[in-house]
Formats: sequence, C-alpha cells, structure tokens
Amino acid sequence: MELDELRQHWAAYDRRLDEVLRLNRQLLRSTNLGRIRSAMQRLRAVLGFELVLDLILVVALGAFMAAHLSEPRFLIPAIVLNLVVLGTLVATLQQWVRASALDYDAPVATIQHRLEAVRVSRIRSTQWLLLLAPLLWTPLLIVALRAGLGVDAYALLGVRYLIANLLFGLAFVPVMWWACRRFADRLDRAPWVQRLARDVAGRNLTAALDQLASIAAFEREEDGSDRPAPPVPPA
Amino acid sequence: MPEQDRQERFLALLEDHRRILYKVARAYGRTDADRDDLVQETIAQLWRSFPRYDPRFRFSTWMYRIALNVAISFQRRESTRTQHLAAAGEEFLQVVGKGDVEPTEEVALLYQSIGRLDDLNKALAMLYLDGHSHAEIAEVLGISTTNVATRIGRLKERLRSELHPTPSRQTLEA
Repeated sequence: MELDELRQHWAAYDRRLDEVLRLNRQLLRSTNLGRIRSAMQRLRAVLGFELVLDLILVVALGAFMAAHLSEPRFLIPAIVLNLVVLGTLVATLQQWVRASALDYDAPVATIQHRLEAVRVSRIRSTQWLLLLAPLLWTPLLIVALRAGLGVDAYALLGVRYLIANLLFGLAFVPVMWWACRRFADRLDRAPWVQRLARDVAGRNLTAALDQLASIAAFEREEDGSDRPAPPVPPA
Repeated sequence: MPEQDRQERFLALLEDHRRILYKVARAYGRTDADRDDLVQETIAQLWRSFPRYDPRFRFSTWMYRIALNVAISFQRRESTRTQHLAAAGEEFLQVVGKGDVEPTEEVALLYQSIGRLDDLNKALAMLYLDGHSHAEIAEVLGISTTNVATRIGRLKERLRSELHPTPSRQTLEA
C-alpha cells in the first residue's frame, strides 16, 4: 500500500471522527477549566515555594552569622550552609524565570527545548544537593543546636564526634552514589524515591541531556545549513 | 468580548477541531486514562491561552501547537496525574450515535508506526498525514521549511520500509 493511499485512509478516518465524536458542551459549560493547574503552573508553584523557603533560610542564616561574627566555630559552619542555600536560591530563581517565560502557544521544538532545559537544571540542583547532604549534616547540627536550643555542639558532643561525623559523611557520598546506580531501577514501588535515586546516579540527567540533544538535532536543518540550537544550561 | 460570548466562540472552534484533540491524545497517551487526562488538560490549556489567539491565523495551527506541547510535556512528566474536573464516566469528548472510533486496519498500522517515532517526529508525522503544508508544519514545530521537507522525505522512507518490509533472504527462499 502506498503512502498516498494511507493518507487517504487517514483522511477518511478524520471524517469518521467528525461524524462520531461530539464535544460535551454541557460538561464544558458547567466546568471551570481555569481550575485545572497545568504541569507548568504546578512546577512554578513548587519553585515559588522553594524560593520563599530558601529566602527564609538565607535571612535566618544571615542573622545567625551576624550574631556569631566573633566565633569562627559557629560562623564557619553557618557560612558553608549559607553558600549552599544561596547556590540553591540562584538555581531555583533561574528555573523559575525560565518556567515563567514558557508559553504553550509558541512553536513546539522551542518550547520543548526550553522545558527540557528547565528539567536539566532542576535535576542538576537535586543531584548536587543530595550528594552534598551527608557533608552538610555536621554543620547543620552545629548551627541548629546553637540557634534552636542555645547549645554548643562542640561542648555537648565533642570535637572528635563532629569530625567523625564529617568523615562518615565524606565516606557515605561515594557509597550513596554507588547504591543509587546499583539499585535505582529496582525501586519501582516508590516512584519518588526512584526518581531521587536516579537523580543522584545521574541517570535522569543523562536522559534529559539526551532528550535535549535530540530536540537540538531536530531543530537543526539537515540540508547542511545548520542553525545553532539554544545552548545547554551550564552545570 | 463578554466572557460568555468568548466561551461560546471557543466552544464552537473547539467543536470544529475536536478530532485534533482525539488524534493527539490517541498518539501520545499510553492508556485510556492517560488520553482522558490529556484531552482535559489540553482543553484547559487552550482555554487559558485563548485570549492570546490571533484570529488572522488558522485555529487548527494554533490548536496543534498547544495540543502537541501539552501532549509531549504530559508524556515526559513523572509526577502526579491531572486533577479531574469531570465526574466519573463523564468525558469531554463523547462518541455518539452508531459510533465507533476504533481505527481501520490501515490507520491502526499508521498509528503503530507513528508510535515508534520520537515525540517531535510523531508530531511531524501527524501534521503531514493531516495534509498540512510544509510552511504550516514549520510554523507549528518552529523549524525551517527546508528542514520540514528533509524530515518528511526521511519519514516517508521510514514509513514505507515499515509498511513494506523488504523480504528477507529466508522468506524469499521459502
């Protein structure tokens, strides 16, 4: 069967759809379609929430740092935490700006390219945050005990305990990375855990970068006059 | 334009192009539930974008852009499903009369071939089969017309080889 013939079958199917399909106007009139939050609106809401949370943390850590300027043992852990939160804040802000600029009535390749770029940036942030988390536990403990309970973690737990914790965190990072690579695909009963594990293992990032590359390849002209595709967001 | 008039105009245009909703959902949704969600989310997105629709352009082109963008994003989403606004059993697209929307053997074959393509080539194939010009396809997808022409040529070859596989040596010998 030739393609033209298949196109005719497709057109006949179109006419058939016209005959048998009806739009449920009554249901549409009674429904508030504006109530459905699109995937993009949901993403923007989550990013907005994260932004507010990051801002609160930056302010709180800033206040803590100001109160402990002359005490490096508290100041340094707070600076470490604040740098991580600031990094997260900048990444989240970038994602929020990119997501806010998306408009679904723009050309498909353009929108899909931008969407995938947001996804890549999001996966990278999660990956870094999860990989750093075991190392942040010790400074967090020091700052949280001091800020929340007024307790000096160095005196309460001992410097050796804190150093051991830090070293354990350091050793835990490669173990976590290995475990995520080994078991991520087997966690299919808990999709969100699987997603995080795949983020840490870098699989989601690889898939997103592959998708981005395939969109860029689709956008490029294949007759030799290549048009440059939008750049991949920096790590 | 008053809100009610705008809604009626939107519904009329949607009614005229309802098969686009169905075909896109059929091509991108994996299950019936996926397709229902996709139809609902596409209608919602169309309604949200409708104030920006410029009537100087074809509604079908504009609708395809949004429907395809929603469908591709929907497919790649890993998280939650759409919030349902309709009660169970109620659908925005209904089959009426002696209706049967099951495609014929030839169309089912085409859907199968399209299903094996990546998201963007799937969109290209649907627009091509729907009889859109290269310029219109380029406008919907955001690529150049030469690129469209090259890709359609390749797509035709691929469809042809899938629909008429070259007989293997063993088959010929048999």
